[in-house]
Amino acid sequence: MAKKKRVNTLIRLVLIGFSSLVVVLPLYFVVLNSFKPYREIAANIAAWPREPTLNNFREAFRRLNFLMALKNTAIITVGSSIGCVILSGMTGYWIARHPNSFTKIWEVLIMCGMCIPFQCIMITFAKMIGLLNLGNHLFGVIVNFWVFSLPMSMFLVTGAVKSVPYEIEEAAIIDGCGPMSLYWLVVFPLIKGTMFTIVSLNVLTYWNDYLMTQFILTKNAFRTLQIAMQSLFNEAFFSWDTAVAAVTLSILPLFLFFIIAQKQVLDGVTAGSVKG
Amino acid sequence: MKREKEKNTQYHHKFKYRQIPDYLLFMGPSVVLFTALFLIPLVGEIFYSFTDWDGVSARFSLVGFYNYIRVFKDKTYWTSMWFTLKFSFFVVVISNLLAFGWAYILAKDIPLRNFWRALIYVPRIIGGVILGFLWRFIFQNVFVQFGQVSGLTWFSQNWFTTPESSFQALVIVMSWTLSGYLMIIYGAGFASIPSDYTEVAKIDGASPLQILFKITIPLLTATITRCLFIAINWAMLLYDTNISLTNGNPFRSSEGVTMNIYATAFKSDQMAFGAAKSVIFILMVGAVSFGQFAATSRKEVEL
Repeated sequence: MAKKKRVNTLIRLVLIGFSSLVVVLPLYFVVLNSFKPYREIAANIAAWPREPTLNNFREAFRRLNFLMALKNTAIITVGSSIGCVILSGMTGYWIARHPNSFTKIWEVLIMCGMCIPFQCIMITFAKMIGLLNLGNHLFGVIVNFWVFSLPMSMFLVTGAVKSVPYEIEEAAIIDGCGPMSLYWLVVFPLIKGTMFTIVSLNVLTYWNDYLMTQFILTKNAFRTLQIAMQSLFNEAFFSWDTAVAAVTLSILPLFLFFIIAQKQVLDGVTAGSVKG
Repeated sequence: MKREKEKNTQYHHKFKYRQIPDYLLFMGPSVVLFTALFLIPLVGEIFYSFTDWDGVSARFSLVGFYNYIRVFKDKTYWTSMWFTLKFSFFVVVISNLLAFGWAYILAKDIPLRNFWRALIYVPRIIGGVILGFLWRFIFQNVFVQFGQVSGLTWFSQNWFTTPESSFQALVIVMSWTLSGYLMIIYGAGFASIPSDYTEVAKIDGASPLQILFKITIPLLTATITRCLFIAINWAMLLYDTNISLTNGNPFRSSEGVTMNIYATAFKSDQMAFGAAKSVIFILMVGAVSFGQFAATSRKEVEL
């Protein structure tokens, strides 16, 4: 019996090991080849680099204007995350604790945002950006991320707030707590875990978005990583050695984030799977 | 009972005028921004689809269903719609089968479980545009060299020059990113099944396959519904990877609906026409999601 169980585990281990290998192989090839000059890539793509070089990275770094793109993307991600936590937290809390027809209507309207994809509103959205003067400014992107991540984040917040016993808030109200301090000093610390989930969930969207960002940021100085990559690949003097290095470079920051915040990210997947 | 009722009345606040500043503070910013950047564009999109607006001039007039009739006659749109539906079907089936299989393997005790989970999830963190470029390298260089060495012509074909190769490439890439993501959700589903059920079945002499089909899958229907829903949404709304991987090549044959709408609205400046296309598109996505939901959620089992 025990032996049968061990064989069973071994089979499963082989299967999952093989699957992981297939999944990771493309990434391996990209990283490996970013250290090779083009003639080595063309000669044998699987070979270990004979003369490892950082030239590809240097070239990719310069052409992507990597530091600036990274800075822009990071500002957008951080700004959006902070704003999203504040906005969805406060609104979600208020809606959960003050159920009346006014809050109900807005809850339903905002939840509609979960079912309607950006594609459906993008044409008038693009006009709206011009109208509100949000174009070509990082803040324009940040504000929009607040709005587009609001439905799902708020959904998670209302769920978390409802699990906080109301007696705690009652006690604080009797002690003379106003709504602001009630939320930030009493409720917020109790739903911090949900907030972490929300942030780790949204960071991927903020960092990787292309469709919405490109409507707002059209100038070179405001390129995000995704936009910089898109224009690098459309350039006339395109070569694969620089391109693979650029791919490696642009994956790296989020990969590091994933390694650090692995648990939160994977927990966030299940929590956020209500939408996807 | 009495206590419960008291508790309810305590925070079932009726709207009070003295609370207006608090409402403004807590809900104002969200409500204003959400209205300006989501609700107005949404209403606008539907409204403009009934006009002849070109996106540039300030004047336009109502034209009724004219744009919709044009959409129904627009061949490129329905080609892209068919492409999207076909693409979604394959992606949804492949990624869900893979994800389910992996989650099943990882459900029982296995060394390094979290390591495998993280490893298979990694593709998901790569953004759509970069994803496409990464795989362009794999298809056009790695696959081609591999095909030449091994003699397998499928690998060494001229990728993105035939409609079939573009289609297959997109399906492969999308399944690659989605499977790991869905695997995590299936994993949570497996974890929520109490082990008593499977143990009792085992004592009663059920085979592993019987346990899988008679116990595990029926109890997982809610998770399956959810994963199918997510996969359908992701696949149908394809855009970033579409432009970076195939960019519609060859001859707009691998163009998803979003790309088609984008081209209509922003490249040929037919805003109203594009708006009509996007309204029809969203109805289509809704219909497919709803159809799937209705089909699977009926089979859900309550514990």
